[in-house]
Amino acid sequence: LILLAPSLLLPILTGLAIANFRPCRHGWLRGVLGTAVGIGLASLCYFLSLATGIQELVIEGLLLIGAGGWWVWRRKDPCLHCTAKDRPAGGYERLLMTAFLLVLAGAAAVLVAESAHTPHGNWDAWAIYNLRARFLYRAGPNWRDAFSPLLLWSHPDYPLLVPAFVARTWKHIGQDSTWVPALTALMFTLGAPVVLAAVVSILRGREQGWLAGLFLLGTPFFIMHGAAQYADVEVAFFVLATVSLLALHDDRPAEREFAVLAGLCAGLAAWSKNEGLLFIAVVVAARVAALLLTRQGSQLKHELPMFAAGLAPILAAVLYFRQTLATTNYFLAASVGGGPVTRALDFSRYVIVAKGFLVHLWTFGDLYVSPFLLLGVFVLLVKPDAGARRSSAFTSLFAVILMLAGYSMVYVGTQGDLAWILNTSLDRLLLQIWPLSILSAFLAVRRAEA
Amino acid sequence: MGKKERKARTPDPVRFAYSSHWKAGAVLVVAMVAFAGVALIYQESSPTRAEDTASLNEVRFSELRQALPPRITMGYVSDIGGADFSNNAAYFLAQYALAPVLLDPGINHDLIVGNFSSPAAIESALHEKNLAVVRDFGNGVLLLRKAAN
Repeated sequence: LILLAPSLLLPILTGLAIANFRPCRHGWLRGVLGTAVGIGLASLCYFLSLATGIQELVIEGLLLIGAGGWWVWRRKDPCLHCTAKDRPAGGYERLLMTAFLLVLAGAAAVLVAESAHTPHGNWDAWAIYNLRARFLYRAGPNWRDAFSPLLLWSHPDYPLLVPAFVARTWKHIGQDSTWVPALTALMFTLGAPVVLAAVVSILRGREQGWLAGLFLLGTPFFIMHGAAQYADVEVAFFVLATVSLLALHDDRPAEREFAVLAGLCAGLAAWSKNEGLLFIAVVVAARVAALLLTRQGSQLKHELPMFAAGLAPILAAVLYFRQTLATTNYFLAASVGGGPVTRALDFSRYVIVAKGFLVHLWTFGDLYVSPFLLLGVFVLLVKPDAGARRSSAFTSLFAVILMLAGYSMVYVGTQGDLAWILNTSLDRLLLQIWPLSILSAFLAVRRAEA
Repeated sequence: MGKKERKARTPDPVRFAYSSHWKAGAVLVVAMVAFAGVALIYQESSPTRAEDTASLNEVRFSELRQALPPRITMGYVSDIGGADFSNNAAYFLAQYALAPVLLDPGINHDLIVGNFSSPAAIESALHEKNLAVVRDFGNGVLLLRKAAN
């Protein structure tokens, strides 16, 4: 851990500078977002370093100088949310805050205990992400062996956010310690409820913020997948962060950095896993639809270029990876049974997928009762708020719906035993949109006050 | 200024009234979190938790890994996990443990990794595939080569 600290300093400082960290009441939000963005960018720097032969510390250093310049330029601006007049605290607030912090500490303890018990993570962790990290670190100049045709079973088409960051950090500390992927997973698993609580707290009141964070922490499936070191948790984090930042931009349109950061986070979702590419298309479509529906279409001409500015460099790196190294995705490849288009014309596949979604929406979450159902009950109890900022709520809701539609179409076009694929993967895809679903609900319901 | 007047000028602290709808929602969330907490504690403290196969495998293959050059493609034979190597946990775990060495299922390479469940399985594979032992690392892990005719 002592060796880790200096290695983590550079990405964290870069991320904090990009997230324009200020020591204010919202420091937690910017701190967690900044750390996540820093990890993502450090991962990209390492990949570029491998591809170009330039030392990763040089690339990271240049990035830090740029980010530092941005921070110096903007540091005198006050946090607009802190200058807004806030309503007084209610009686339950401290109780909920204490509960949130206790449950967060409990989740951290579970993550550490699980990481000690299964230090290499579960199946996908050692068969995909940590395996790739080992190749990138151990193979030295032969790192391209990580994408050998002999490893097709390990999905060499998956992007490298986790493997490249882990390999980079191993290189810095000089050993392939299992604590590096475990701590990376811990950061994203605990970071998601913090971001959720902070954003809902800013936009819908502090009590609602703590409740939203508790809702996510009350899903053992999310915590255990963090401990399993599956990259779906990173996707879930960046999906949540993207839509949260767009909601913050709705609230404070003058803070354009929110839109840039949203684009950056959408790009990092795509650098985490292939579903992130689907999310980029989905979030743009959801945003356009939400702003047009709420007659705020004029906002798009300012927001979309900002979003694109954050997204473009990450997306370029992802596309470069896909063009030069990634193999074709096995499940979407053409096969004896025809290509994805042929499969898409088979109506029976839609029935299997629909049944799969119904079953897994019910069984998702390891709670005996579907947390999606509990979220629906929560919305019915607290009731939708006609006065809520509709563009944020619609963006979030449309993103959830479009992601579900996108997943369905990918399943329909997938080759292989569809029922088996649904059974072994759908819960993890639902996990990717679970924090976003909670955000959607809390952006739509009434505040705590009578 | 009388007492009454002073009291009237001092503003009351703003009292925050929670809606009954919100209280009902909060009870639901707290109950869910409490249940999840109990479920997690039960799961974590269960005496029937399976041992971590990846960690066990790391120990089994550690000596072989140290004996291998960093870049080599080797054959792989095993009686564990069946003949389908596209979804075979034992093969995946061996590849994970030995990375960056590449394992190619079959015996089409000079050196071959053997991963067996029992001495009988080793004997059977050596005989059937005409292989010779270069070194036995114990626990069913062997370095093999094709036997001379």
